[in-house]
Amino acid sequence: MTAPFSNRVKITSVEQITPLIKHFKFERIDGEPFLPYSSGSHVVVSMKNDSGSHKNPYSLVGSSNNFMQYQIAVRLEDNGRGGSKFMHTQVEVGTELEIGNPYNLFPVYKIARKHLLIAGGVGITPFMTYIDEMDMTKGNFELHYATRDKSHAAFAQNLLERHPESIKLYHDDHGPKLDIEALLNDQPLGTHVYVCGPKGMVDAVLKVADKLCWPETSIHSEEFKAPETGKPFTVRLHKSQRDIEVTEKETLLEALEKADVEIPYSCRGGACGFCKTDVVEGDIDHRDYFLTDEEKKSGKCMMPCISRVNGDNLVLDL
Amino acid sequence: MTKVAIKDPIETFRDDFTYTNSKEAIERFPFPFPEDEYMYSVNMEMHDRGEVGSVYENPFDVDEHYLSEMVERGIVLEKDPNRFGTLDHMDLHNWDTLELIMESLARDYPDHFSLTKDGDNWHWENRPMGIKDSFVFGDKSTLPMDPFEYIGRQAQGDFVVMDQRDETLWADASLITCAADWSIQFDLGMSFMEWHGPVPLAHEKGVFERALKYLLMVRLGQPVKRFNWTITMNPRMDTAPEVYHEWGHERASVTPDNVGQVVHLRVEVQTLFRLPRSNGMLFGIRTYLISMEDLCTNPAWATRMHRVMKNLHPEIKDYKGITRYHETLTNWLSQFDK
Repeated sequence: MTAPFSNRVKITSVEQITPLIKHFKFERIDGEPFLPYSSGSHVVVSMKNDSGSHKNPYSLVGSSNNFMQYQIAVRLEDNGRGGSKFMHTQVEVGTELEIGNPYNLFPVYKIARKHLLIAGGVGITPFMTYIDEMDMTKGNFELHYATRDKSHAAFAQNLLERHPESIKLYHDDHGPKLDIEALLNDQPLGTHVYVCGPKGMVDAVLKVADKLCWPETSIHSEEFKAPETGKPFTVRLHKSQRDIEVTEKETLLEALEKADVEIPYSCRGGACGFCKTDVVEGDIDHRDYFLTDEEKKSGKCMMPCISRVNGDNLVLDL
Repeated sequence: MTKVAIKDPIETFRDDFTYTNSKEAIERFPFPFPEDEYMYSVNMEMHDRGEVGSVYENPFDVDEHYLSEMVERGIVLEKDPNRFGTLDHMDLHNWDTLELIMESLARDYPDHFSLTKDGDNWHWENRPMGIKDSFVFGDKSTLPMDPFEYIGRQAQGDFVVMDQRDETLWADASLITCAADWSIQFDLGMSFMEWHGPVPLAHEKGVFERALKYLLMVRLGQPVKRFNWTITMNPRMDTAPEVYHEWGHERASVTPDNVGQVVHLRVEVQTLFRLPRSNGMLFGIRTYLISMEDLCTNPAWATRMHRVMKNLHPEIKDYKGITRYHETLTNWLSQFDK
């Protein structure tokens, strides 16, 4: 029995919770409950407007006990390609959108003795459902949450009220700073570290964990990597003998979708593996985390959600 | 929606072996061989709703043997409670499993099952088994046993509940009373590669590597299925290694005269469901048994069965325990392949 892959939804509430982050709640248009989901799950939100279409993944932040409603929090990205700007400027109560079913690339490691959560900025979002799960399973956890100042710390008040002992906030503008090395150095055996935040923070945690010889399987990260733009190019589809233009601002996957070429996807950030596509010819600029080094070197496949081509010759086996 | 007539009085899967398939059950038997030669492959496909009346009509198939199989499960668990096992971190997964099966059964067989929910206060009725229980979803103290064992005693087929971590799947909870010669007490807590360790040929072919990669990406609401099969003497559900002394010797009992009645094709429709709250997976192993005599009432199956047996790779023959009576069986089947 298969569930529909996507759901038509209607926005029921929009709240500006920090200067840069808006919190959205939505329901299914058919009035049915959503599927339950696991901590750390995301959904892909499809947006369409005059400037084109966007499909962005966002972590679910709502209570994992209310499935009549899903919630996400979206940070306005100045340098983004328009998805977050669309959410911030054009989405209001009553707006209809389409969202995919939840998928999880950042799950809780169930047998960890202790969960050490490190969030930077909007990287707090996947941890909202983590903390629900910690409540339910009476999990041993600490959350270390860094933002530029107090006003940018989304959900902080709510979290602090629930877990004053387990949550520590850090602000760039005053007070003590998050010392990643000291933090990781002082953990009991069996601790798993989870980091979600800007690239600099994720890299720093990974580097320190490596230096302190943490087991690789005890380190979990989710970087909110949005596809970077690149030079425009033309892709040739070998089987259907078509040429499709990929502009500077769109990803290869988006250009293919615009041309009605259907490709399965989930994360749209080079991690899940769904959109893996066979390559006939082309010097691929691999930017994903999914393919093995061997696969990347072979040049026989690529992840069109995030990777592009060096030069302008690309032939896909589609 | 097909209405299922569940047999009552119950049939036995041991001692006097009164289990039989009705004409309808023979017709809907999930014959597993698409070709004249069998070899391991990544034979996975979507577990979509199939044809009305088929074993794929519903995600969890209930058939005429429902009550009999539940009684048999009770007998096995009574003798050996360790056929159910769960590790400490599996609570969420086990509640996921209860929810998935209850919702499916109540939706697909409303004559037999119903589920009503008021927030976390749930009421479950299983009319064939005469069960009516109210409980609080998520609160184990409100059920007479672990939620997985509770629902597993009310659903046909064996179940393994798997946790997903370290890019693999772990068999961290299971209820297995109709094992085709494998031991869950031995395998509990093993990873996907570990518990498939004994299977011949498939590792070299990279079958498990590809299968695992595929399974890790199974999505919510998009279950998948595959077949497995073996051959069992008599309609015996419990062929676990723990009770080998009860059934192992029966392999020596096959004669040219009794092949049709004694030898049974045992087909497992294996299903995999992503579990929503835990991000784990439910692995269902639904076993169907059919005697050679009944199977060969379908001429196409009889011919195919003969060819598959004739062409069977020696290592698979050994692994599945067929070697001893292989010749007798193949000779008997040859009458249908002329």
